[in-house]
Amino acid sequence: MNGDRPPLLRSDRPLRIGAATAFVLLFMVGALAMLFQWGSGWRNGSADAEMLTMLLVIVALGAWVIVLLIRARQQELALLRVERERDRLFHFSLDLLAVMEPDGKILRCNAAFPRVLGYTERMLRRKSLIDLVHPDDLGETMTALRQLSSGEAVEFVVRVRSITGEYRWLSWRINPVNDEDACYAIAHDITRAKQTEEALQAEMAFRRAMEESLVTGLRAIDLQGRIIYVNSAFCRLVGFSEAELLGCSPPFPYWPEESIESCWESLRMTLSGRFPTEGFDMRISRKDGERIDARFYLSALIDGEGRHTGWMAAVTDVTEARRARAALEAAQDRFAAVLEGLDAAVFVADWASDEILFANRAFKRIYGFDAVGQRAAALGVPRPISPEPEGSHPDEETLPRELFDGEVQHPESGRWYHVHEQLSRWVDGRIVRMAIATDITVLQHLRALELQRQAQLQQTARLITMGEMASTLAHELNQPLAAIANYCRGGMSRLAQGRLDEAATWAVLDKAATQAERAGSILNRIRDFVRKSEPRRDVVPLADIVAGAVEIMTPEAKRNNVRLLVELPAGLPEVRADPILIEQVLVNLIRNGIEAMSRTKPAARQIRLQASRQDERYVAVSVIDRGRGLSPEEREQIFTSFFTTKPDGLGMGLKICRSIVEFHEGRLTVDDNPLGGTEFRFTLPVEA
Amino acid sequence: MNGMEEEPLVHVVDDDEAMRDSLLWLLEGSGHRVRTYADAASFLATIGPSGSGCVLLDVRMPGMSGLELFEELRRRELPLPVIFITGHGDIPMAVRMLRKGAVDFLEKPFSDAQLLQCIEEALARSRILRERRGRRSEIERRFETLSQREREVLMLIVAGRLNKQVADDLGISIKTVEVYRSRVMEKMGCDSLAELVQTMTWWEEERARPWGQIE
Repeated sequence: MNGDRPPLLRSDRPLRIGAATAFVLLFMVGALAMLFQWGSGWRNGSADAEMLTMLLVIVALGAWVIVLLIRARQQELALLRVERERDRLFHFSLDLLAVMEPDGKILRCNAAFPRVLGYTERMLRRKSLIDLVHPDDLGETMTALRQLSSGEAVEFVVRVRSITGEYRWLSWRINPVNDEDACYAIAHDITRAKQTEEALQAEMAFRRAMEESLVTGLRAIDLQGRIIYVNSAFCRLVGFSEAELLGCSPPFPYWPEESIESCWESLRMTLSGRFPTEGFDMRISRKDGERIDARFYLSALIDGEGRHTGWMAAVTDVTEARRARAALEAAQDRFAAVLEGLDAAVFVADWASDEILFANRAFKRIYGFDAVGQRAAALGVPRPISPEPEGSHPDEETLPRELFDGEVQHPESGRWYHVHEQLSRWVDGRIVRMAIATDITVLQHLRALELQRQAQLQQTARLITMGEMASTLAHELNQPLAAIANYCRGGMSRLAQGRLDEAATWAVLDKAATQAERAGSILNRIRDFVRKSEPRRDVVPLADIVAGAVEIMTPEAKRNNVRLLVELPAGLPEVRADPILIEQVLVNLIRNGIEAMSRTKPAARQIRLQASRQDERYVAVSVIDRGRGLSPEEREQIFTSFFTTKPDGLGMGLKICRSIVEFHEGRLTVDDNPLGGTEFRFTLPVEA
Repeated sequence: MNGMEEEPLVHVVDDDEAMRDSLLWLLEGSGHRVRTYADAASFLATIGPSGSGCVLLDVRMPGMSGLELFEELRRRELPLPVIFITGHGDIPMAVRMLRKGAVDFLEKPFSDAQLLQCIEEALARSRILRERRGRRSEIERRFETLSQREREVLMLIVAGRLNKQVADDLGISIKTVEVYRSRVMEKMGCDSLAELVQTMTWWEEERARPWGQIE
């Protein structure tokens, strides 16, 4: 045992040692005093007896002191033995024992401390409990220590930091020793128990939370069918409280009146254990009367000892799910119908393998009805140049991402598609390219036609301008021509009267010539203008010209409720004509026809475009309306300039038409339609 | 009355100089007196209230058009029949103008014979119009000289009342009626009652007749 260890118990040894020392000192002083007296007495020889007595007293006193000292020593040894016993107990105790000051400073501790907390005794000495407790437990510790210093025994449970930094739960009991300035502390390591308790609590909380958060209702019945357990979800589901349900025997309050029989049947099935494993649906009547559809999944209830004690049912509200499923199915049907009905081809191909996973009807129509499962490239699906290197895995962060948006020509069919491709994630998680391809061949064709039409419109505009110009020029030409005639006639009458002198003749002839030149310059202006739009004759199919004119006039015809009927026989020869000019003639004749039928009842409004081979050299084209027809006088005049039956007509249209046809070496004639209306008919030379 | 002897004038109103000049040449060659005007305003500024003749009028002119000038002549009741000349025919317009008293509507180019014939007709019409106008103003001049009482007597006589009836109507003696009657006959320059009735009837008709209209 360590010698410098302070005693476990405080002894009176210092007192005794002090007392003994005092005695010895007294004795010594006494003895010295006597010796001194005896010495002086010797000299005077009277004090020998007195001195001897004193000596005896001193000896007796010395012996008494020695006895006292021996007794004290013996007592001390006995105490030491007791103390050692106690020390042993102290040290071998499994509990943590410590002597500490009331402020928690540890004076001594037993071996359990290093065992439990890992610190050596030396490390702990003079260290306060406050230094070791968990920060969260500091307050509790302080309170306990305050209580302790006021002389009360305290008990508390705190976490104490071990040398590894872990905390151990220690249950302390500290008793103050009132007459000593120390406390005796005993601590019990309850970490294990605490952990178990915490785990239990956590599990309880988890279970409670699970039960509370569960949307699935749970209901247990015993073998007789009595309800022995319901969770809150079940209560919410049926609208009855736990108290209303527990202990209920069938019929249960949530059984709807109208289907009580089938409920009984379900219960019998449950109790007999013959329920389907995939569950069964049952209608439930909530407390508020609402009916809901619920699905019951059943299992046997087995207790801790393996006894079958009842049946557990997991119940879910499938009303919403049913509605949602129905809605989803409908939505899917609609979606499929839309996709299938689309003119645009839609397909989905796996990014990595190029396998077609989905294709709509339009796609299958174009690429074959067995398209699904094949490789897109093998089918010749136009594939845009991908910005991704082949085979590299696309960055999933950026999905869905546009791959391509543009126009692509199918290499085999030559048709044009507008393709919009996206990289996306397919329903099964695969990365796919999803494409919508719209056939824009017709659109492109129309675009080209539109351009052509623009050019034609310009040409037409020029023709119209030409008509207006001709009208103005005709008027202008009349002036010099009339003047020339006047000069000539005037000269002639003078000549007849013999009163025309030479000077006057010169003058009048000069004037007439000037007017003739004026007329000439007007004509030159016309010619310059016309030269810019001189007709060019090509070999063209008549049907194309007719189609062009019909296309131009269709909107106007529709506006006026007029049907345009094209009745061209097959195998018409090609004609030699300027298609734009002939188209213009047809447009003019159709427009006249439409205008002539403004009083015809809408149902009868139609213009028939017919063509036939007239003879070896000519093809005849007819434009037949059902309009008001022409009077004989009108028919006479109809081709003259400025004759018009329209309030705002120029009277140039038919004149120009005739000129155009005659330029083509054909003839434009007019006739009555026997059914009412007028037939305009012109001929065009066949390409020999 | 001195205008009767005067040679009639053909007025040409046309904005085209060559037309004016050539018409002048042509018509003078046929013995007509011709005056030309570049626009309607200069024509209106020149002509007086009398004088026979006709007007060759271009329909399309800058400023006042031929049609507007025609209306102005009608308003002034000048004895100048109008022949329209046009570069570009418009049948409805032509019909309208003819109804209003235009002589003809010639479309360029026209033959000289056609034109000259039209001018002859127009001048003939002009003479008639002038005569009528002369006769009418003569009657009006004479009528102006009658006193109020004489006019009352005149109206009753023309209406066929006998002297005695007139005397009763006006509350005067037959003697007095006879004096008024002889004064009316004298002032109106009529020799017989028949002549007086005829004169008054013509005057009535003439005033009701639209200008330029020949029966």
